[in-house]
Amino acid sequence: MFFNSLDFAIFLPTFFVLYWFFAQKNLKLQNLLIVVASYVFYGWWDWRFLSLIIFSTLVDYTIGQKLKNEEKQYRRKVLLWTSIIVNLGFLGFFKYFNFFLENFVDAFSLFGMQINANSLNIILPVGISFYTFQTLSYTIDVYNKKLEPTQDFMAFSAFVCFFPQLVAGPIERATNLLPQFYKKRTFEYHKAVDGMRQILWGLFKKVVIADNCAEFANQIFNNSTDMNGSTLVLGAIFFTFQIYGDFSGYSDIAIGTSRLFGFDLKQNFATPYFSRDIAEFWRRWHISLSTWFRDYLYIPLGGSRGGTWMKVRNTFAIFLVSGFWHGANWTFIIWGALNAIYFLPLLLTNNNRNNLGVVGEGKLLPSFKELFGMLTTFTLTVFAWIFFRAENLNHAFGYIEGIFSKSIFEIPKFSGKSDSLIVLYFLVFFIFLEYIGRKDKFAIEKIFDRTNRKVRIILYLALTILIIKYFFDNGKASEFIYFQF
Amino acid sequence: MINFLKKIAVYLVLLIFILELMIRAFRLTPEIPHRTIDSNGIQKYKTNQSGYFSSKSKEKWLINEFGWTGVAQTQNDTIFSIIGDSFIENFHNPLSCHQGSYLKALLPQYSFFEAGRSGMSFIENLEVTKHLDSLIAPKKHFIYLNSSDFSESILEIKKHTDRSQFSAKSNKIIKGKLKGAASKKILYNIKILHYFFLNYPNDIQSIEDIKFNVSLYNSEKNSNILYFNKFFEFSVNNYEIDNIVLVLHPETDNLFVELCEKHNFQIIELNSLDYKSWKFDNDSHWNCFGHKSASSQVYNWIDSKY
Repeated sequence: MFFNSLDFAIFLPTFFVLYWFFAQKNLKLQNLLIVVASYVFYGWWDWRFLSLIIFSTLVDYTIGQKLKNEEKQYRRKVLLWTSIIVNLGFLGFFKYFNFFLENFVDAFSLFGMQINANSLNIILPVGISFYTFQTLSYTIDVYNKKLEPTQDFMAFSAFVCFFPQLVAGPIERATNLLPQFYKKRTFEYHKAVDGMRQILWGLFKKVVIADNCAEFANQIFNNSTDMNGSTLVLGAIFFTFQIYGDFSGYSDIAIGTSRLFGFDLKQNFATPYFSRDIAEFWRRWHISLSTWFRDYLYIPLGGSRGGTWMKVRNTFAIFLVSGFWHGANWTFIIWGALNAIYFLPLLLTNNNRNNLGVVGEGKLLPSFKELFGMLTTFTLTVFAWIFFRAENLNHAFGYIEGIFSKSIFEIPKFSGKSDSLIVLYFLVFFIFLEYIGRKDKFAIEKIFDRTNRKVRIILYLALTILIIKYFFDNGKASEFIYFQF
Repeated sequence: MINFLKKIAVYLVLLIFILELMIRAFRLTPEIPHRTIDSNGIQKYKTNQSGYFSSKSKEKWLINEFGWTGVAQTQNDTIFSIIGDSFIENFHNPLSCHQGSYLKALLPQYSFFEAGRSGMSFIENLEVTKHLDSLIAPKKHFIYLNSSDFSESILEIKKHTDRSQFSAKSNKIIKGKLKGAASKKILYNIKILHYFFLNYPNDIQSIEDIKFNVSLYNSEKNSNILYFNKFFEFSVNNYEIDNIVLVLHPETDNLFVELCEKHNFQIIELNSLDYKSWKFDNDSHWNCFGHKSASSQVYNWIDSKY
């Protein structure tokens, strides 16, 4: 079920009524209802893959119980690796089997050895990358004794399959989310209103910004060989906003929906395109994944405490794995490598923690230095997104070659160019709101909160009307990009 | 909680009110005339209605005193009727782009009388010829048809309760009924409902798509050939086919062309080298160029005969 669908528009109020009117007084019933609703939400796409979630839940719950009573270190390790192998095994099979097979065959053919191997027609279960990492965090934290294993199976099941963030994150840590299932939730007016506001902003990002940018980004990327350089630049910029609107929009809807039911999820995006350097960008983009890799991969590998070689190795490791996490394609690996190359100079010169606050802190506008940093970071990011969006490496290199040609000085040319002007106006409006709300958890969290109530309501109505207009204009709910990861 | 729900309800009411105003102000839904069934069983429009078809329409459609939209000339001695479905109803274009207008400009000595209603099948067209014979006695009836108009006429192929159909089994016409008149009245008057209804996102093909998807019934046409033959025999025996000329849209299935010829119908096969240029970008109906091109071919036929 998509958040931007009529199915969800019926599902959410129904669940709201059941949850707050029939299960308000009973914690177990609240958790049971969440599990049932989450399975319905997931099964709406393909009920067969529910078995994977249920199996993963059973495995990690059981291993957690066994870890509690197990003192012998090597047995604890065996239990930990069992969880890792089961979870990553599923992920590896569904997501990477064909990729490894094809590359294996290609590698042998380089040496003149022909191997016949047929790739399998495998469907990638939606959200597998997200819930796998979430359950893994539980087992690893229990193994490291940072977390007491839960005795409440229903609470654990609800933690694994919690529908708002099940299919595209944010990837929650057991230490943050699981304890919230132990306490009975009571309705809090301000939390619910805040949640609704964040849902509204998320839908605006997805339906108005991302889906409109997608129309032009797809057209330009799909016909890149026929486009001039300036059009290709525009296509990359459209994709830059598409992916941000799409993914951060999903996160906002997920966080907002969770708040409606009394849960607090962690912030996943913090106006990343206002970052002044790449290190800041990675503290602000897909925060739940970056911190997951930092805590469960980068730090165990030694982090940045060792010598230069270790820093280089660990940085490449985290970015390459992060790239590969997004999909079984060399384009994602190059995207990861490119970001590692952007990041390394800052790390090696100890400049990776220069910009910890927000841009233009305490001022209306950023300084020229900040503006320069922002534009440079944005340009580097746009360039890297070309690899992320391209179908394959040839497509990416062809696209870049097209940009760096004389035709970059020509006027952009693509069908629907006049329609794209309205999208550019929306982008200006969107960037303005994001800048105003750059200190907050989401752009419209506190906008006009204390100054002008009427203007605030007009803004909400305007956003809602735009969402309705573009939702119905598009003719059908469009899938979120991160569903495929 | 109650406070929260109250505020949500107030917000929704405010939103609905504003959306209703905006949809009306920007004419985001087509204004569709109300229908009626006259004493002859002909489904047409209630007279004296007018409205805009879309936000791009510069001109209002108007339902004339006969219950049809478009041109209704009766001043000359010789009258030709122009009968058909939404192509002849032609809400998409101004009055100057109607078949009647183009033909009148080319043949000022004759009158042209249009009787078009969206969804009208071939058998309903034939019923209209009978009705017009008693009303204005046209010299010829031009019935504009595409492939789907034939199959939609036959009950056994697909039942359409809202329009008259020929039952091949009982060999008679089953009269259509106005479908959901009360609910349509509500739908057309509450614009926000109509807007959501028209734009409801789904993956099901729109009616328009299905209508022009010839392949849909291609696979079944051989099994339906008996029905079509019975239908044509019924038509020949019950209507004045000597006074009828069938104007077949470009790309009409050959099966129907052959059946028309076999049953001695006079036909005009419209030709187009670039049929796409006849149509709107997002709509299969003819634009002004399409109507002009079609009317010039009908003009040639009239010119050669009279």
